[in-house]
Amino acid sequence: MDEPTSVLTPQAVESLFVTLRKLAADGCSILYISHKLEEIRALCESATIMRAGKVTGNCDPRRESASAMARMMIGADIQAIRPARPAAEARRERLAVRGLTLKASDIFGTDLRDISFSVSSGEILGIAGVSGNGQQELLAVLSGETTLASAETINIDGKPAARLDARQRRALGLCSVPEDRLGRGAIPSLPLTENALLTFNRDEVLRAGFIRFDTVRDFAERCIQQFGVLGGGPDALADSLSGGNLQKFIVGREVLQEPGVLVVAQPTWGVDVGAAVAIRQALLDLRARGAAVLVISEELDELMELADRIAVMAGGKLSPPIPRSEFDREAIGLAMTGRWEAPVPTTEAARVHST
Amino acid sequence: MLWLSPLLAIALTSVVALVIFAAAGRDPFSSLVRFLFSPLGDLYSFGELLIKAAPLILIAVGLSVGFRAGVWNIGAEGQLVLGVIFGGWVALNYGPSGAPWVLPAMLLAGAIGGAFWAAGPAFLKTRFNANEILTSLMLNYVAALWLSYLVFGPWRDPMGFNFPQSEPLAPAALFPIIIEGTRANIGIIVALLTVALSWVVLSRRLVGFELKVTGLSAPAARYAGFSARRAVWIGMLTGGVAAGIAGVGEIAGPLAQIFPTASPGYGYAAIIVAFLGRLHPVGIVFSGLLMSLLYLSGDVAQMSLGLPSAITGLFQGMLLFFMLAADVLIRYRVRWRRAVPALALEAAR
Amino acid sequence: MNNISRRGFMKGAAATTLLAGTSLPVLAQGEKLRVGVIHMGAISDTGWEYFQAQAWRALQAEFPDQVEVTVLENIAQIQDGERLFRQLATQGHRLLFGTTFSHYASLRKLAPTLPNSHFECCAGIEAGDNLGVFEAKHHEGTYLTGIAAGRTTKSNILGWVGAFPVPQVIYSLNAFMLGARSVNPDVVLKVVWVNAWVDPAKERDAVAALVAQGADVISGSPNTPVQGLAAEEHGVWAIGSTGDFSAYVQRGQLVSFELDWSAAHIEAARAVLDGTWTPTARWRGLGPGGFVKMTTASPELPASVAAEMAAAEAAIVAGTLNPFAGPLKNQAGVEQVAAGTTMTEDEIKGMTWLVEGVQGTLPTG
Repeated sequence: MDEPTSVLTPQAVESLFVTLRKLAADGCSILYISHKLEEIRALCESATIMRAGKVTGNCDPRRESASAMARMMIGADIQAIRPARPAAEARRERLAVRGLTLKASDIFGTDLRDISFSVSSGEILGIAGVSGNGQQELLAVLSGETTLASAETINIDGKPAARLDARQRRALGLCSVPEDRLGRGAIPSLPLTENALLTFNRDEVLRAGFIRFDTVRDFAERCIQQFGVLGGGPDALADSLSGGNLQKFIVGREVLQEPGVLVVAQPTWGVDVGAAVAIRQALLDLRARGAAVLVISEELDELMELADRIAVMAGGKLSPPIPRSEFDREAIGLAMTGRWEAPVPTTEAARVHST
Repeated sequence: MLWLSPLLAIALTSVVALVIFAAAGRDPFSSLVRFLFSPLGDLYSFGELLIKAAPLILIAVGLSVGFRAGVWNIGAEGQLVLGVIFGGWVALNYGPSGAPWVLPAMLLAGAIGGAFWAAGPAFLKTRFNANEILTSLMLNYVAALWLSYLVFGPWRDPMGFNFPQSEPLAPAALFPIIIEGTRANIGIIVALLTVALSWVVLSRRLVGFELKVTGLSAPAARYAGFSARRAVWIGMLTGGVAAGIAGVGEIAGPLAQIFPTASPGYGYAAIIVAFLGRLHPVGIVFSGLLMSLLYLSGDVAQMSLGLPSAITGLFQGMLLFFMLAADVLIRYRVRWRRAVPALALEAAR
Repeated sequence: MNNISRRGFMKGAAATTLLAGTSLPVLAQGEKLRVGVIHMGAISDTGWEYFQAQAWRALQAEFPDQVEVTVLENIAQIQDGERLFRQLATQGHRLLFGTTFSHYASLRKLAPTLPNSHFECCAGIEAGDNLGVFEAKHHEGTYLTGIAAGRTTKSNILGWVGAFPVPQVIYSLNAFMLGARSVNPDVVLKVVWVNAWVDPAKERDAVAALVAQGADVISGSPNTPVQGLAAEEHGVWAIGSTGDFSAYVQRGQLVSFELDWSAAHIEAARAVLDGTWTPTARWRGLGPGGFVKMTTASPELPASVAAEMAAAEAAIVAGTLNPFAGPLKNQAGVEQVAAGTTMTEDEIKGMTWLVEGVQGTLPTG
């Protein structure tokens, strides 16, 4: 099995493990591939660890510590995440969404239903949920890829923004990282410099309307250096990079623009442990500098590590956010099936889209 | 690597040409040399090469702006005809005054005419998502009929024995000749200026990048906030303006009169030129010259090699065919494998 | 065809300005006269380009050892004609033929600048500096076919498929009508314009429309077998106007005439060889050395009608019959040509009105 839990709730993961253990007890051999060390430790009896196409170690995961296995995976010690302190200044609301309802344009899409929330400076709001419950639609609405008729539905730093396109929203300070890296967050056939220009293109990059390619190139190099993007430098084509390195580049590109509001989807999807740590650190640092950060992720562990509050999406609705002091895997997992206060039909809420 | 395939295509076409010449009983190498170089033999012929290449380059550069953004304007032929109509109107009404502003006004009017004709498909695309390939193509026929009406009707030369042609244009409405003893006129300079301008805009201004991104990936363009509608308008209008100016160039240049068949199909040939030139302004200069050379060579084939003029169409077709094939082969690797035995296939299921 | 009496032909030419011809240096001993011909379309087995090609073929046959012909076909673009004529001239072609009116404008510009070669343009309007023109009196052919049509029709309705309303087509159909009325005063002629020189689909539709209006003899100006075949399908007679299509239209073609430009080519070449070429305008119809030739007739054509046509032909050749002799009225019944006068050649060449009895209008105003 290859990463079987990426679209499952914690409860569903638990019952999957029960089934797998039963199968193994009946004499079935199971090869389980995952980058989630806790799953391996909980499930497996022996582990082979690979890095960059090579086997780097063998162990009994029940006896190894997670950090020892992580060292084998990335070949270096993991830097512990140091949650930087939020800015001491008075919190102010930077991103506010009020009564967002939107019919899906795609027949396989999910309608968004009456979503309201806000994110303040120095805060990370996590949005959890099983894939296909409206996260993609919400991201498109927030980034500006989908625009709405009523401008007041979305406010960025108090300015109505729902009718603005992505570039206009970026001018107001909202940057975003989509979950599709190739073909959306970056263009496969273009070099990194031009991929930097994709979103790094406001006034400071232009001189009398002409692109200052040296500025863009410097910026791309900064992304590459600060985020440890491996693979060829600013002239390398986007599709020549590994998924993890490209993700670091895209996150770096958005974070280095110092947005007031950053909306990120699946920040560490398919990224190796070392890179994931670096990306999470960057998000925390951004928060410490007073930005409002919204993280949409299917990895609950990640959200629990990063977020100050977590809300859950199910069936196109958003639960009330839970503050960090009340984080509880069980409660959040239950909410992923759509059961928070007003129960919705479970069949609909629990449906999982393969797209 | 992709700049290689036009060169590869030219080489392969030349090889086939050698085979064809040999099969026709001619000495292949001297025939090929004559085929390709005799249109360049003297200054006059060189001028002919340039005046045929100029409209092709001009239109192709205009079209390439749209093509980069995935805007498929197939209506350059009609937009060229509108340039003839609008520019021709200025020439017929104000040309006899001899005023120095007549020629610039013709160019402006031609540009407006082409843009006007391109605006229809752009509007239908952005407003109703109507396929611009079909709408722009169909307008070609409307434009041709409109010009026919004018030349058969109100614009017919009263001294022309009722033949469908306008009065000859006044000298003030004609492009000055830039090379003495040839027909090469300032239309060539107009084309080169357009190439330079579009090169700068496409490579150095954000709008060029916007168009490129829109053509490469619609989701990425939306994510970046580059408007698809804007791309459609810019792409269509640029093609229309360029074709309209090229239309003025024909009546103010080699024709010097307005005929119902003012366009010799440059609007379509320019599509090939644009792709052969890799949608790059400099590439288009070369492909435009090559295309023009092929036209002239076809005449040479008839005149001195005794081969049918259809050979021009054959070579143009082969050039495009080989280039598309080379593109595929450069991008993908062909692997020859023995047929998988049926049993293995069965087992694989 | 070889028996050319030059005096007769030069009459028309004398009417136009004769520009002083510059004699070429006499060709060196044994040197061939190189002749260039440019066709706009492809040379096929019938039609305009075919008759043009027949002319230079006749020229080759006439002077097998003295003349060499270079032929360019499919030069559809007007922009190209000028360049190619110039190229042929600079390559040493001493006599150049344009085959259509579309070549006329560029040849007028070009001919004076290339004094070492001489130019001839078929269907050109008037001779110019170093440029001769030749055109056929189509109306002499259509007048005769009109006689056959007027005698054959039972409905007294004839049909004409018009290409473009240019004078050449207008005087052709007018003469057709006049020929028919000369033997049958009750006849009318209906005209449908297709606005194309060749467009098989529109030509078929036009024939069908004419038949639906009662026409039982169809003639027209686009010169392809399409109309004849369509007429045959509808069971009405067709006329091979400017082309004998009896090889295709095997039953339904009543009579036909062809255009024969051989004399134009041979005379011009001979004049160049002799060093006596001058720019002339030659406009000829029936008769020896003429450009219009009556060809086949259907076996069903009564001998009396054939005799009537032959008599008219003889009278035209003798100069005693002119199709455009007055009195002639236009469609509205207003007299255009008074009794006792005939239209001048220039008037015929510029004809823009339809004679009485023609039903239909000119498509543009």
